[in-house]
Amino acid sequence: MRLITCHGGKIHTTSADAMRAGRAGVFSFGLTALDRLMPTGLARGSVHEILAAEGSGMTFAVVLAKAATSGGEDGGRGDFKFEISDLGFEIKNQKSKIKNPLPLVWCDPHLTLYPPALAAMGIDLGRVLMVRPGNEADHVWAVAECLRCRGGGATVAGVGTLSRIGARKLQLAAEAGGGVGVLMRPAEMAGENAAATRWLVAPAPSTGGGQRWRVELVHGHGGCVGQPVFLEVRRETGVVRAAPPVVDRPVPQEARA
Amino acid sequence: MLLPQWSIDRCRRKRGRKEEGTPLVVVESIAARQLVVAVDGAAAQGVRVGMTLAQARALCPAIEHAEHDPCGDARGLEGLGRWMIRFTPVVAAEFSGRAAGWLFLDVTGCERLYGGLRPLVEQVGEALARFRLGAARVALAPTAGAAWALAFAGGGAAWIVGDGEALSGVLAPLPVEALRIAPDQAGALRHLGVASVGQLLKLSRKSLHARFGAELLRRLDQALGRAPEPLVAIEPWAPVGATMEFEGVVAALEALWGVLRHLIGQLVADLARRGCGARRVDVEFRRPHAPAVRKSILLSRPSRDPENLFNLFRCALEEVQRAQEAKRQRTGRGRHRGRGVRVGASPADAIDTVLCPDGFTGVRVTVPVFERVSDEQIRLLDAAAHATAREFESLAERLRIRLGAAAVVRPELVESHVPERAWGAGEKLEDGGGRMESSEVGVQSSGEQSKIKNPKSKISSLPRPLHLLPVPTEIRVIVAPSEDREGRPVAVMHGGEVRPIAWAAGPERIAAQWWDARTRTRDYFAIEEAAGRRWWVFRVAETNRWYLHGVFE
Repeated sequence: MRLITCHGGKIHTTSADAMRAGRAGVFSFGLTALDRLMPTGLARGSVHEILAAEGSGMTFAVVLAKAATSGGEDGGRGDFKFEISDLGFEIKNQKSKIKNPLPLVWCDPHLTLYPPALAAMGIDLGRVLMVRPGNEADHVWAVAECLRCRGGGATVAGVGTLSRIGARKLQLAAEAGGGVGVLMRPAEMAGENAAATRWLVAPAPSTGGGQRWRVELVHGHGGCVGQPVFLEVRRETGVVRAAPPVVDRPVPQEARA
Repeated sequence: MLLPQWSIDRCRRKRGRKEEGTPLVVVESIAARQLVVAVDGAAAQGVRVGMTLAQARALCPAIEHAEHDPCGDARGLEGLGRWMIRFTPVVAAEFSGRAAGWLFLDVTGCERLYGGLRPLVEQVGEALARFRLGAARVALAPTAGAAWALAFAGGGAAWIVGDGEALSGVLAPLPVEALRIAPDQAGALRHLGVASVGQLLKLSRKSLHARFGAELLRRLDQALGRAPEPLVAIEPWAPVGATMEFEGVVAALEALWGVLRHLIGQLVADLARRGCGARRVDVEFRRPHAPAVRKSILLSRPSRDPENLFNLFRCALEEVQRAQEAKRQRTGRGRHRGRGVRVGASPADAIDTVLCPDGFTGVRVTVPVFERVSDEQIRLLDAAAHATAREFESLAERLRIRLGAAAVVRPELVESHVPERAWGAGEKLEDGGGRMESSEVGVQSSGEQSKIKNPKSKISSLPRPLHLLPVPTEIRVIVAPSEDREGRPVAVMHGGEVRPIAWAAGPERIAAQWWDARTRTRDYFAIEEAAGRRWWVFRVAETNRWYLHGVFE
């Protein structure tokens, strides 16, 4: 379904997905290739889980958290600018467009997060709070407390093993707070979960340019499960975009000869 | 009660007993000259008020000096007055602005409690001696002005004047300065040959009014009781607090939370009446046959939001409970091995069994520190953003109570090429709101690390990993052969096996800081192995060793 409007002498079409994404309680990536996997949008007030293979996960967590925290009323779309390039759609940070950026809490018990890299990805450090709990019990408590906060921002945390009750508790805390929880777990620890969506992220070989990750939706109602998308970060610009998958192209006969 | 050397006395009290004997002056800096405001001990050597500090030093080399602080003196005098409220409810404190200060105690009707006026004055004198205010003079008179005059003239002893009729007779021999008039007026009177109050009383009021204005006559009338002198009494502080004593022992957690909510409601009503918000809240759970459990909460900004206060209590009590749990575990292992302490139960159960094994007999909540809070005026359209910021701040407060101030960090970029120094914990969370806007503007600080004003400028153009190891770990790297030992990495040892490197970018040389002997010159490479994982490694130029510093996750 498409909504066609006319104002300013131009005809605008809005897809059903975009209309749904503009609804309160849902946000979208603003990156077409990823939004296609979750056409109904990602729910606020819930936990989204990233199953990360070794050497991946944080960048995707930033993409997710940035989408969740950039501007409340326009469904998270104000942050990104669409640019058609030869390889597809690009997202670019446009600071001037951010309206009321929501706070972002990063629970980091192992002191691994490097904020300058976060800033380079277009996150305003003024709204970032780093929480560094000293032990596992404090960490779980802090994550739940952050999720329960009604500030409506996003909470990113790496968690190891999580019992079913623990996962459910975090989901309930997120529902109480209305914010977005982004949990990063090692892929091999995929156990019980109560998350609204679940993403599998793994590094993918680059073709010499930007670094690539393979992102796949594993669980999510109304989502396209099992269709991998390749994300690429341009080394020169730091722009995240969707890249076509690497395929084995038949080598031309002349070259073989 | 007159304290002619209040500034000096206060400095002495601050410095402690060790410097008792040294001469002390209080100086005031006016346009690069330091003028002596008050003198103590050195007066014998000829140091006078109004000299410069250099002159005073020339006369008395051993002299110590302190900066004049009129506001602090006035506050200190008010504090002394507050202490004096135990003698009478009406205490007025006045500070001259230079060195002297005085307190008026209206003891009308209070003498009966002390068995007469004389014991009362003696007790006040004893208290002053205990505070080491030896220069203080106490006088008692039917009017405030006469008391001041007697204290000014009488050398340290307690003077008592009987009734109002004899007042002019007692005041007559006193010098004119005793009337609390300006020094230039007293000088003019002395110039005219009028040295005592008695001589002044003989002059006609009309001519005095014409020559010296209304002030002199007013002071004279006030001293003699012909004109009223209202005292501005210090307002006593009433503590903010609420207590609930239980009839029996209460152990149910829901009941305790309910009581706490009720008490907080009382506190908030009291604070709202005063227009104040709490900065520090103490809570005390009284237990039978055991010392009370106490916990205090510090707030970064005055608050009287019941929900916020309750949440802070919740966090604080979880902290208390954990500490008790740890203590119990320690003692339990030693002595009561078989008691069966339940550990690892749900938090609510744990509070029930650990925090209050026998229940509580009472709860007391007090607010020792509170401040005026003004309701912020916000634009209607910004209300949502403002509410978000406030929620966020109270979250940071709760986290800090449980995790400690160092564990909650607001990162800020710092201008430094050394990667691990390119950011730091930003401004402290203590200062109040408006942070969302103010965080973008750094403050230029001198020295090695200066914060940057334009946030765009210091983001390194070269990519940095999101995952930076707190301490670089040494790795083994196989390098392409080259003549100058500076070849590019070809393979890396990871997890016990050699992995070929499919792609490498670099080197990015980060030179050692010449003022810091510990840092070395590093050549950074971003390397990618066949599976697509990217690492950030560097080679120390001096030692040729390789270290893993980050992961592009």
